[in-house]
Amino acid sequence: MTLCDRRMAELLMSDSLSIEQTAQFEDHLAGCPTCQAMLVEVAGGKETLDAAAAMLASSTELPQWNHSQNSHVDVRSGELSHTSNSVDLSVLGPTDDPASMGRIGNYEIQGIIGRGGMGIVFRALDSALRRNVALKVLDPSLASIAAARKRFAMEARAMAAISHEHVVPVYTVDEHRGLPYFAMEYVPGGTLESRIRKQGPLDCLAILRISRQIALALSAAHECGLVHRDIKPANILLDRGVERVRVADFGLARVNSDASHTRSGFIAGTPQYMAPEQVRGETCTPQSDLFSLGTVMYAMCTGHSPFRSESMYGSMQRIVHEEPRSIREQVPAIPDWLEGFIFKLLSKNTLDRFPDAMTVARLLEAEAAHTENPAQFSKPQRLEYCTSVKTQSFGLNQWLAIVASVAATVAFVVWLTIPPRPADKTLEQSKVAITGSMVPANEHESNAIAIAKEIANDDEFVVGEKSIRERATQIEQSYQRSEPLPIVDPFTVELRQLKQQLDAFEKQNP
Amino acid sequence: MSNWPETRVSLIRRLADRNDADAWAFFEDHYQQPVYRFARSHGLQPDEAMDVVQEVLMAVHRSAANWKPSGRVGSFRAWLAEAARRITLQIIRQRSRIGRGVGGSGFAIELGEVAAMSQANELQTNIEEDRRWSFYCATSIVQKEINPQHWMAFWLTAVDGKSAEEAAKQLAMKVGTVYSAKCRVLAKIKAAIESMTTTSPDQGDTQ
Repeated sequence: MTLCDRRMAELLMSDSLSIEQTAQFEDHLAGCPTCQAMLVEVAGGKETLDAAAAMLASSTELPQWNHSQNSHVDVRSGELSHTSNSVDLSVLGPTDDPASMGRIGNYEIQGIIGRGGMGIVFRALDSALRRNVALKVLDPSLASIAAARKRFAMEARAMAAISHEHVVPVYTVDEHRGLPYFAMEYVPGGTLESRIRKQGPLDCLAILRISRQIALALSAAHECGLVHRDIKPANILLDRGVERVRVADFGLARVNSDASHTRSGFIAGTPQYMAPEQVRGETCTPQSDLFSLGTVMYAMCTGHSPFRSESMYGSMQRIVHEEPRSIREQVPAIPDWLEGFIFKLLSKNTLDRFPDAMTVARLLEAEAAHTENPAQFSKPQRLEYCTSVKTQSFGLNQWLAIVASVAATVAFVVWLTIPPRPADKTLEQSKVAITGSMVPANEHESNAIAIAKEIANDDEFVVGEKSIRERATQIEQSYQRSEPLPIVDPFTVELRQLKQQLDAFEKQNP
Repeated sequence: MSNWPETRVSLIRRLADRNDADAWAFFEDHYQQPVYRFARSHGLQPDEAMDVVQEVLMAVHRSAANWKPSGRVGSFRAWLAEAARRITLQIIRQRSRIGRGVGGSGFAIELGEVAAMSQANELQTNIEEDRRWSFYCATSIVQKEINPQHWMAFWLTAVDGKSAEEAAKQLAMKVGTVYSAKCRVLAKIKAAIESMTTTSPDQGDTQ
């Protein structure tokens, strides 16, 4: 069989040649342009090849975010690794300082700290004040885009608006050759992310101190109407140990009520520190930052995010649907109240979290004081977040809660025994009204109506006292959830029915 | 390459089960790349394109449970393209008119919305864009499933424009093997694209 044969090419492509034949044909291929071209034709045609090549060449590849090998991959550092080589330094002005890469305004650029979504962060020296600063400059490739400039300016303004010891302060906002930039305090200590990565889990006191400072920073931001939206270890700067913490990167921060400057969702990457409502694409509130604080605290305890996963989707799925693994199972040294505290922050429902960042900060302050000096500072109450405290001993609050619930029960029973008003429909009429056509206004209403109908249609109504009580509770709950109905209030009627049935039942079974 | 994964009905059915981690891992593994490329090909910056990837993934996450069989060929892929297109456009539009209200809580894309928006004039699919999308999907799948050496041989010679000799040296392969590897990749890309357009409806995916 001659080698310059279309059939050879076809056989090669369909893997029908033996190993020797393949090797033989491939050797021939190396020096035979005719067969090379023929093979391309057999495989799919030059047109397809060129089209595929052109499209692939025109679109860069998805940067590798390697979830499986390194759960610490930060988008920003990830970006740094694939784009830092191409940082455009042509924006820098000339300098006389040999140690400097160039100048921006009054700043001598000394190095690149990182590259974020919109800008490059330089380490620079303020030549007038002789102090180090971190200089964030809008990415030159975005400079011509008005929206990017506005967004960048917003970040600067957002940060500058919060004057707080635990928020990185902004010194100057200015422009250099049409390129906006701002100077921030340079924090040399590194991030919480790198600390966790290098040193593993932190001890209890350090966790409390760091968390408290983050909570204070959040509280300050929230008071200015800003939601950070991207609280994660990589955005927590540590200045010489844990004594002073700064929250950085308000690049995603958004004014609470301002829907007009929506950023394009979130920075892609591992969304491990996002709140469930954020994952679902709902509005972020200050409570979302509290959830993220919970994930950061969890990471400080265990060395990893509570929702780490092989994949981005996996993380999202876990955030929305799963409870994180117990901290104490992994790190027994963490006290149960701290675990309870973190899990309260990690509540899926925003209302189950603490009411605000200041509350969190105060509680953490009390815990830190007690942990450090138990003799001087009494043990905090911990009622809200320590389950074992609740079951072990009863404090005043528990007794109050019990009294309140007893009072509520009594009130409910009293209400049940009030005789029907004369204007009320009879039982039969009510039944008709209930089972007649009613258009539910919402989901709750339709549920409630369904229950009412079910009861009204049930001729063998009474099963026993327990089931009546269950149904009463059911209806009452439905009632609480729903709006008053426009035509007839079936629940009041039903409750009266139930009450009558209950009375009858009690007469029969004294 | 007859087993273009999307035409295995099961993948889409399985995605409806949000707990099916394997299906989701597969989806993520194979579809992030096309979405990213698509966004980049519209001039988005890398981080913006990554935003699009994440938003599309979230949109799939939100909508997956509601998928019902449509019987249409490639409807899931079309849905995905539409979602990518819409989010990409939203970002482009935001660039140009930031400051005017652009939807409150980001890009909560739901299935119904996507269906509705595909009728809008400004979002009309053009043939070139569809072709591009098919190529991105096809190359992404092939890249995942083929011998990495073969993929590299293809990339270096076809995309980077290197000679077979240079590629052979870099990959420690024989020159002839570089040629055959490149063509194997090409054949698979071609087959993947064809299977996307010629799948019979009963084998088509569900949406």
